Amino acid sequence: MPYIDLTLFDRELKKGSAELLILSLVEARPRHGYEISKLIEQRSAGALRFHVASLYPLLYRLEKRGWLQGRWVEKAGQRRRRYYRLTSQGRGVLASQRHGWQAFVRAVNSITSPAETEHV
Amino acid sequence: MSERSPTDPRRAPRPWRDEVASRLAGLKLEAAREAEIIDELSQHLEDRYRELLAAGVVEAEAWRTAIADLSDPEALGQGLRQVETRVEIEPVVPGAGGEKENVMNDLGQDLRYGLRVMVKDRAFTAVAVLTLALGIGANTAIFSVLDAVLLRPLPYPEPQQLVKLWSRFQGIGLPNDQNDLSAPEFHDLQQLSQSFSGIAAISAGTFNLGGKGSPERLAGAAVSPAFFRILGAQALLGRTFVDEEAQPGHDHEAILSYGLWQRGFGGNRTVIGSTIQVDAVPYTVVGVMPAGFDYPQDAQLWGPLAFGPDDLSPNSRGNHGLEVLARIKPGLSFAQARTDMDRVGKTMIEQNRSYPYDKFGFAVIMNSLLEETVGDVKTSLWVLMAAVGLVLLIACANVANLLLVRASGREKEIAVRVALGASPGRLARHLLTESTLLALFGGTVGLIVTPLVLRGLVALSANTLPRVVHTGISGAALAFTLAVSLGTGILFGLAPVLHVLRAGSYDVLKSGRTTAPSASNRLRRGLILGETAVSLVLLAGAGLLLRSFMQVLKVDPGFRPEGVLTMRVSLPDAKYNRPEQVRGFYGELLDRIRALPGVESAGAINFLPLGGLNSSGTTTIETEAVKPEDRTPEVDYRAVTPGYFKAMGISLVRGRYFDGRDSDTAPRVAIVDETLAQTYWPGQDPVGRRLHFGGSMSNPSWLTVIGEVRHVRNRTLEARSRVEFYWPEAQRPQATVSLAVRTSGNPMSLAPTLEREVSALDPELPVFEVRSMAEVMGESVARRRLALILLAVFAGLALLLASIGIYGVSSYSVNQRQQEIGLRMALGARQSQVLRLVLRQGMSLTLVGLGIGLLAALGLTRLISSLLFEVRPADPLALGAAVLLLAAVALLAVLIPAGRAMRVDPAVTLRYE
Repeated sequence: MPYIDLTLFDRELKKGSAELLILSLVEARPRHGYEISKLIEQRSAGALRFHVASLYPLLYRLEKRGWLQGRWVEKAGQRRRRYYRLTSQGRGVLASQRHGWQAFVRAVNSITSPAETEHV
Repeated sequence: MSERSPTDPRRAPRPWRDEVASRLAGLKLEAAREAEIIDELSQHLEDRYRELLAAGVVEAEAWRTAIADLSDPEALGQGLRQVETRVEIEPVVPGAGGEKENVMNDLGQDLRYGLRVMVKDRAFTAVAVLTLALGIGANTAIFSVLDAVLLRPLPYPEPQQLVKLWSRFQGIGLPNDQNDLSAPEFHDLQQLSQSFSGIAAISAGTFNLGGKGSPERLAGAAVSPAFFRILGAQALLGRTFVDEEAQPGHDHEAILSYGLWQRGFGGNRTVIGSTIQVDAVPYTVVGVMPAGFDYPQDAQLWGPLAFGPDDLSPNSRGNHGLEVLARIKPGLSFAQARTDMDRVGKTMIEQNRSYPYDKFGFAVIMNSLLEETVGDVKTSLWVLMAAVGLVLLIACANVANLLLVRASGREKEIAVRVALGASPGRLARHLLTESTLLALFGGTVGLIVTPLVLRGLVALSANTLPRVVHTGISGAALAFTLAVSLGTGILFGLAPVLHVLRAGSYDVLKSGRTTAPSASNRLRRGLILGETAVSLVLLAGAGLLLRSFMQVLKVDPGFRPEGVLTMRVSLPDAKYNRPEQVRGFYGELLDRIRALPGVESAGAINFLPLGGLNSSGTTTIETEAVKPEDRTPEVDYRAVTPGYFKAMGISLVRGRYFDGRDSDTAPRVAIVDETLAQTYWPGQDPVGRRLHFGGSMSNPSWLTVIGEVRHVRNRTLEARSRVEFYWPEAQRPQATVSLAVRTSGNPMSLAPTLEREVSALDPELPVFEVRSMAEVMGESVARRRLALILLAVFAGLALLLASIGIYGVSSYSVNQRQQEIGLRMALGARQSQVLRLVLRQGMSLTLVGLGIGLLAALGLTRLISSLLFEVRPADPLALGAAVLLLAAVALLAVLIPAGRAMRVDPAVTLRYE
């Protein structure tokens, strides 16, 4: 299974792509940390995985910036979990980051796809 | 650490928590934040672990995989360090050292943390410290007075051996049948007693000292030479008296007080051996006493007390005017000395059959000097101490309430401490350290305020306290304040501790939920109940004293004090040694005064009513109305000049006042009071009846009654005096008199003019005790007024604190119930219904408190019954007024938050849901 090196991905986090992943995942509804990490793993088919030691500091940072809001929730028969909800500020940030990322991916694709090199 | 249940459904199991905690240790995060992170991360690990197990991974492997998610030990710390803020607080996990060291470490931590909390929450700290400072400061002030007056031993060596002796004459002596002793009786005591190492007679009085042009009136005393030896007092300069100076003719030596020596003689040591004029007689100064020696109180001059043959003759046996002081021999008990005095009393009765000792149940009364000095203020002072203690209790209740409110706000913090393994004891220590710290601050601020309060107290008490109270803070007062502060801190600190430690709530905290508000509210309500009850007791006490005071002021003294100016003048024997000189002087002085503008009438009397000086003696009354043995009662008598009764507004019942006809050469006459007339000549006209000084066997000339006047309360406003009669001053002149001048305006404005008139006649005569008659009356009730003012102040303080407490609790409960109220209003409750809801809750608490307080007041006010006057301890007016006042103030304190509740906007409060 292809696997992205952790340290490499950590560097990616700093670039903001990890922020984008998290903000996207809580866009539809509030989720707790483990759920977020599971979804990242599942949706990337195991290609992307967050360690606890990376994920949570990031969640806290986003919360501190006011993009996420964490809240302890208890459900019957379960342990209490902290759910993260996208704030309206976070929604704005997500929109602009998503736009930026798509522009970046398009740009990278336009350079790296062999079919198009010929055109340039 | 082991209490955490492994089956707690709400928490991730222990091992995860430990793993996470160990990686956070170096971060020094704020405790609450750290606990949250531990909770969240360990939950994550647990989820992962369970998922792995579900996927069929074996336990050990699942564990390793989950832990691997935490990455290497440093990574989490590094990641968090960039996000989380560090705080300076050290974690409150008990250390691993020995128990004692641990406690000390904890204490240090608690103190630091407590100080930080105080600084952070300034408003709370200010309110709490001020409340406590008020309570502790008032306590320190009253304790200082109590200590100085009651507790501190008298400033003499072996003070417990010092006693005062009195004669007992049933129905005559005041108070408690106590009477001064006469010179022959003193002589008997000297001869017969076996239990004293020394016995001395004291005749206190005032003397003219001077000095042409600078006459001065001083308090002083003629004393037996043994006096100084008994008190263990040494002269600072020169010597005290020797026994030979107790002989007439050898008694012209004087000893000065330190104050008089400094003030009058510039502290000059050559004063010893010099001559001073005392009442115009030359005295040689033989000694100066050290500073602080002032027995009798305020004495500045002492002379030897010498008894001549006249003084010791049987005729003088009834001339009671000596204070007698004695020192019990070392090794003898007070009870043994008292037994000895009983024997002496019986012997004196037997040896003097001609004197009516038997008839009056004569005995020698012996009291300790301390009891004598402070006896009549003892009850008041203890009552005030108790009152001020109750005020402190109320202050404690208020601070406890504040702490409870804050404790609810701090539940999260406390929860974290519990989560981190703080034991109940450890938590209690922490909370108590905080409260004690607050109390110590309160005490310190209180100590700053105390000297001011004391200064006010001393000024207010003027001369009503029997011992000198200094406005500084004594070591005893300091120790008292420290003890009270520590005790207070523990007392009000217990409330939040109870709140946290009550079994249920500690478990709740452990579980991380906040405590049920109802439990904390119960404690708060209990405190308010107590506060209300205690306040009511104080208000009832103050009400009773106020009623008593008003009753005393309502008493008809028998004269009209308004507009009367009084002053005392004393003619020295040396200069005015013939009766006609004295008579002439006062006659001329009064004539000059009557001629002054603004003077309506003027007269003089030897002892003013309520002025503290009295004279009385056995008097024979010519009557058939009572049994022969009752015809020689003890009667209060006074010498007055014509014009006195008119000036004092003492109305005539029958006959006439004294006038110019009643001269020295005219027949001897008297005016009796209505009580004497009614008692001895019931239903008859007293005019023309006769009485004379002394018993039936003595033979002075008869005095014929020419008039009857109203009864005057001579000794105290609070009780009728004995039967009274007056004789004309002209027929038996008095060297020292008080002038009584009725003026048409403000009496005091005339004082300088009158003093000028006196010095116009004799420039060497000092005028002293210049006071309006209203002041004289006021001074006679000064002690009662002082006790009233202080108790009223304390009751007011209690009322204020209790109302703040009630307001706080109602206000808090309205805040807590805002959503409920909002919901009710959204469902259609009217404002008036909301108002009723809040009022009912607040006032039901007050009413129960009032009920408890009323019961307590009924029990406790009996303790002050000796301070009451014509008011029963269960006086319905005082108790009812106290209840109404407290209820009204409480209603106000509840109405304010109730008003707020009425204005609750349902839309706003419900939005928070």
